[in-house]
Amino acid sequence: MSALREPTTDGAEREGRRRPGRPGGRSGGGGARRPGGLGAPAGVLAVASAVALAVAALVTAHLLVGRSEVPAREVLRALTGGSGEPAYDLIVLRFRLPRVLVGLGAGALLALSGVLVQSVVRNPLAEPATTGIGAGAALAVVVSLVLVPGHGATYAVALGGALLAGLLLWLLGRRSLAVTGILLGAVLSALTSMVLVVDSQPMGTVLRWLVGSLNARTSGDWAALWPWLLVLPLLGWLLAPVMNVLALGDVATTTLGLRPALARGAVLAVAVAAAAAAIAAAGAVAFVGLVAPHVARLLVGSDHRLLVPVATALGALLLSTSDLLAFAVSLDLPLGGRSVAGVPVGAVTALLGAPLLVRLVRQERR
Amino acid sequence: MITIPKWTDGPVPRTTTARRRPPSRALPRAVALTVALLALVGVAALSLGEPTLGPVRALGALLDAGDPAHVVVADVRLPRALLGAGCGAALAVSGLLLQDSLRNPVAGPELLGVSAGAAVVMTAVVVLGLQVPLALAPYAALLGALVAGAMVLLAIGATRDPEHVLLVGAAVSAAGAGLVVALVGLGTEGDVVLLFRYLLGSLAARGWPHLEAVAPWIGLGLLAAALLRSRVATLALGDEVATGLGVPVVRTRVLALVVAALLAAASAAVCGPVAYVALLAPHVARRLVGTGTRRTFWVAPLVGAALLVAADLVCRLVLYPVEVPVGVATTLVGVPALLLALAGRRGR
Amino acid sequence: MTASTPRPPTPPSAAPSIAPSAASSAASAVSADGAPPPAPGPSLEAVDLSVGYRRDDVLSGLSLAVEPGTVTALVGPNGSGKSTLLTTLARVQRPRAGEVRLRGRALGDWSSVEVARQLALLPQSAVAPAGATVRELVEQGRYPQLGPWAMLRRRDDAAMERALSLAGVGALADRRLDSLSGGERQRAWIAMALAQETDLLLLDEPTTYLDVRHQIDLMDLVGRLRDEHAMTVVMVLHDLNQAARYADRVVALRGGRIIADGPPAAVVTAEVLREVFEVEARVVEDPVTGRPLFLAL
Repeated sequence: MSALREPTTDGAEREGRRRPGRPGGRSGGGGARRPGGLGAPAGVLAVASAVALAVAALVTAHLLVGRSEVPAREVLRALTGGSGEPAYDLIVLRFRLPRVLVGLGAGALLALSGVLVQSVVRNPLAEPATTGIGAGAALAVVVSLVLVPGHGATYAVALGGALLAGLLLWLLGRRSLAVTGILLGAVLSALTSMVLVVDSQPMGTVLRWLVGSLNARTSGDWAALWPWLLVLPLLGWLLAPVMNVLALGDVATTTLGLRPALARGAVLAVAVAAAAAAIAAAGAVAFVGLVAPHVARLLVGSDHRLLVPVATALGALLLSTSDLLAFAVSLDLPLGGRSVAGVPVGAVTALLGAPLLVRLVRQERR
Repeated sequence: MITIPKWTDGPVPRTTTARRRPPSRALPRAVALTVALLALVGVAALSLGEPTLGPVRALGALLDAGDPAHVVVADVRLPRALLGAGCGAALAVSGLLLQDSLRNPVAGPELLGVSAGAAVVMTAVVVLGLQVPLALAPYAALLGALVAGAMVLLAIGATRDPEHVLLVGAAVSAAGAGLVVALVGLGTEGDVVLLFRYLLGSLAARGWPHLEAVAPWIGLGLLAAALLRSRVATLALGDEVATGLGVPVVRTRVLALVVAALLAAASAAVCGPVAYVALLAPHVARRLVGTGTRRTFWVAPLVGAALLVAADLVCRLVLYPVEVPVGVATTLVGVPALLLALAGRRGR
Repeated sequence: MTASTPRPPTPPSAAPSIAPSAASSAASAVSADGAPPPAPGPSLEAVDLSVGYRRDDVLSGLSLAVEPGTVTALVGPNGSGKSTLLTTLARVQRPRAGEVRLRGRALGDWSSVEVARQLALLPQSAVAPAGATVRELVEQGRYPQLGPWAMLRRRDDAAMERALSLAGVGALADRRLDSLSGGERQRAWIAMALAQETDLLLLDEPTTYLDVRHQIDLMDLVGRLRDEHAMTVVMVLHDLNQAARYADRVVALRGGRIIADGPPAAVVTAEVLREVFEVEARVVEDPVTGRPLFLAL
C-alpha cells in the first residue's frame, strides 16, 4: 500500500523540484507576463507548498468521508500497515484511497491535456472533454459490452476507444481541430445512442464515460492510471518551450527553426494520450481541462514552462474537490443509499464550471 | 419630408444579367418546391410503418372514421407528423434568427446551449415529478433555454469567430448533457427512453395533447419572427449599417434572441433537443433563395419541417420495431452538412 | 417599428417638389434652369457636440454645418475624431452633450427610420453576410421604405435598379460579393446606400484599400452624385490631396476640434499642415485641377 501512496507524494515533490530548476522565466518566450505573476523562486515555493497542503487536506477529507463510519485512528492504521479490522482495511485501501488518487490523477491529466490542446488549436477555449475523445471511449465500451456481455476489461477498451477517437481527430482535423472535435463527438455520441437503442443493457456502465464519474473507483483503476502520470506530465513539460514558440504562429515557428506540423503533431500526441488516459479512468468530465488552464494563466501568465505544471496541479485539485462535493451530495440524497451510482462528478463540474467559464473568458479578453 | 432626388424618378435601367434568375422568381419556386417536398414526406409519414398503407388508402383512412386503420393514421401518425413539421419549422426559424442576428453561420440552439438548457429543465420536471401541466411545459423549458443561452452569449461577447462560438457552446452543452445524465441517474434506473428523449430528442409516443400544448407557442414565435425578419436582415450587415438604416440594433437583437429561444424551447419541451435541424435548414434555404432573412424566412421553416418529418420517418422504420431517437438521424446528416457549410465559408 | 412609430405630418413622398427640403428644392431648381437658388439652411448640422468613449472626450464642443449640395471632406490625423464625428452625425453614436440637427430638427426628434430616409451612412466596418450577392446587399438599403410586412414592391425594384446602375455595378448584380474585387465591392456598398434614396450620404474612408483607378472612379461618382443628383456628401478621407482635389470644403480636425475649415485652397496650406498633421510641407498648385497639392518636405 505504500506503493499506492508514493506516486502522489512523488508527484508533489516533482512539481516542487521542477520549477526552481527552470531557466529564468522572465526572459522566456512570447508569454505576456502579468505584473503580479509568480516568477520568483519564493513564489514558486509558495505555490508548491500550497498545492501540497491542499492535496494533503483533500486526501484526508476523502479518506474520512464515506457511507460507513471509519474512525480517523483506524484510517491511519489501515494506511500504515493494517488495522485489526479487515473491513476498515478494505474500505480505506480498496475504495477510498483509489478514489481520491484517481480523482487527482485524472484531473491532472485532463488539465494537462487542456493546456496542450489549447496550444495546438491556438484557442484558449478548446478542451479535451469536447474533442470527441470521451465519446470514443463511450462508444468502444458500449460496443464491446454488447458483443461480449459482462466482460471486465472496460478500462482497456475505453482507453483503446479514446486513443482511436484521438487518432481520428488528428487525421480529420487538419484545418480546424476544435470544430472537428465537437462534431466528431456529436457523431460518436449519436452512434453510441444507436447501439444503446438496440441493447440498453450497458447503459448503467456507460454513463460513467458519457458524463464522467469517480464513483466506485477501485485500486485496479488506479493501477491502470499511475504509469501515465509518471510519463505524460514530464513529456508535456518538456514540450513547453515548443508550445511557447507555436504560440507565435506558423511563420514565426518556421523562422525560429521548428517545423510547425511536426511540433503540433508532437504536442497533440501527448494531449490525446493524456486525455485518453484520464477519460478512460474518470469519463469525459467537462470543464476541468478548460477552467484549470484558465486559472493557471491568470496566476502565472502564458509561459508554458510555468503554465503546464501549475495547470496540472490545479486540475488535480479541481477534479478531486468536485468529486468530494459530488460524494457529499450523494450521501444526503434520499435515493443515495439504494445504488452505488450517486451524483457523477461531471454534473458538479458542469454546475460549477459553466458560470466560471463565462467569468474567466470575459476577464481574459480585457 | 421624404424627398426623392431627381435621379430616382428617372427610367429604370436594365441591369439584370441572364446568369441567374432574379430572386423575385426564385422565391415562389423555392416555396413551391419545399411545400411539395413537405407534402410528399407527410403522405409518406401517414402511409409507412406497421401497417403500411398505400397513400390513397392512408388518406382515405384519415377521413373515414370507420376504417380499421383510422386510429393509426389519424391519432398516431398524423399528430406525430404535424408535431414533427411544427417543431422542424420552429427549429429552423430559431436557427435562422440566431445566425443572422449574431452574424454567425454556426449559431443554432444546439450549439449555443439553448437546447441543452431546455432539456435540463424538462428532465428535472419529469424525473423529479414536478407538477407542471403539459401546457406550461414550454415556459419551464424556456427558462432553461434562456439561462443557458444567456451564459453562452455572455461568454462569447462581441466575437464573430465561428470557432469561438462553437467551443463555448459545446462546453455549455456538455454541461447540460452532464446534468441530464445525472438527473436521469437519480430517477428510475435505466430509463433509457427518457434519457434519449432529453439528450437526443425523439418524437416517439407523441400525440394530439403535445401538439396542442406547443402549437400556440410555435405560432406566436413564427409570427414574431415574421415581423422581425426585415430588421434582422439588416443586422447581418453590421451594427453601424443597421443603425444607419434606422434599425434599433440592440432591441432587435435581444428580441430576435428571445424569439429564437422561445421557438427552440417550445420544440425541446415536447421532443427534446433535436440537433442540427436548426443549423442546417437556414443553410439549405440560403442555397435555394440566397441570403437575406426577408426571403429565407419563407423557405427555412418549410425545409426544417420536411427535414424533421423525414428524419423521424427514417428513425421509425430503420430498426423497426425499435425506434431510433430522431436526434441520431439529424446528427448523422447534419454534421457532414455543417462541415460542408464551414468549408465553403473558409474557401473564400 | 416601421409601422407603429407615429410620424409627424409629412407631405407624401411622391411629391418631392413641395417637400420643405433644401436639397430637393435645389434638385428641382437644377432640373429647371441649372442654377440652384440660395439654400435656406444647412441640411445637417452639429451644434456644440461632445462625444466620448468612457472617460475621454473624442470630440469636445464641436460645431459644423453642412450646406446642401456640397461635398465636404473631413481630414485629420489618426485619433483626431473625424470618424467619430461622421458616425455621430449619422446617429450611430450618441453625443454626450450638444446635438445633431437634420433639417433644423434635432436627430432625437426624428424616428430612426425617418432619418434613414434622408441620410445614408457607409461605415468603414461594413461586413456582408457570407455568400450574399450584390443585389441582396442593395436590397437591404430599401429597409427604411418597407411596409410592416416587408414585401418588396415595384417601386423598390426600380430604386434598386437605379442605384445599381448609378454605382456602376449593374452588370455585377447577381454576382456574389466575395467574388468581387475590393473596388467592385465598395461600389456595391455604395449602391446599397444609394438605394436608400437619401439626399445626404456619409462615407467613412471610402477609398481605403482601393487601387488608384478605383479611387478615381469612386471620387468621380461622388462628384456626379453632387452635380447631377444634388446630393450632399460628407466623407472622411485619409488622403489630404484627394480631399483637396474632390471636395468643395475641407474640414481639418485635431484632438476633437476643428482647426481649419473652408475651401481646399484655404485649408490645405503649409501652416495648417504643420498644425494639424505635424508635417513640414510645400503646397503647390495641381497643374491638372488647379487645386492645392501638398508635397512633404
